[in-house]
Amino acid sequence: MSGKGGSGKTTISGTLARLIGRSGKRVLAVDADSNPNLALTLGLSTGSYDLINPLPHGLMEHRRVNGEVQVSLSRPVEELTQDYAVDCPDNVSLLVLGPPGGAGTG
Amino acid sequence: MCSSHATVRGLLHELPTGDLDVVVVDNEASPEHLSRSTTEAVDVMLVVAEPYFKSLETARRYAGLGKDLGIANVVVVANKVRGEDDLSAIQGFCDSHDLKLLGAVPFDETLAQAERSGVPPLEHDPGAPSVRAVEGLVEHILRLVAA
Repeated sequence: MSGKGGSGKTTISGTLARLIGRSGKRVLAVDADSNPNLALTLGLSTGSYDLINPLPHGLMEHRRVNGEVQVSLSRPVEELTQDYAVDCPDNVSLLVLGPPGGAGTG
Repeated sequence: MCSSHATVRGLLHELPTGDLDVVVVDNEASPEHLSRSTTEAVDVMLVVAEPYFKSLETARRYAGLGKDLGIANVVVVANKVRGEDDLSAIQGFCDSHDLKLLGAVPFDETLAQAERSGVPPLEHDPGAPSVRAVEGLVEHILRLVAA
């Protein structure tokens, strides 16, 4: 989901994720905005915000395979969703990416 | 590329796992999130556009980037549409730039009320015109994801 600031990306993303979830699909909503706000639209109560544990930086590792640099997650993705994703209503779980601040990893 | 973009890239490459059917990513309002290695794993890119020139120009640029990066389904969702004039302006813009308009979400006072009271649109009024319109997008999107 992309678009200009204020265009309604978050409202549409969150509502869409829940309605897809209600159709019977299991949905992971990823909040990749540096000012994360998706939780509210997803119906997570403000009291549960403390449960949100943003995905830390530095999860990408560079490996050299046959002379070529490959970049991949340093931990299995299932483990990350298990540790960091928060259950929301309607078959949706939410993963929030930590705000930027660290040095770029390429 | 900042590290959160790199993380999205890694996640999208390794998701969905067996337990997940659909991943919805709410992106930053800057085109930095778009790069070939991120978009390889994307089935559908939804570009939200409001019916005014700067928003449409932004949508056109993002959609162009998405297409250049090889995303098979780049579609526009019109938002805050106040009537036929708005809709035909967006439709005309999409037609003249070879963009597919997937659907339109109307301007909806109930959304503003929901925002003011800090309640999600679905809890505030599940029958609101904007919510119904997003509901109408679900089937289209799932069809594109499955294709």
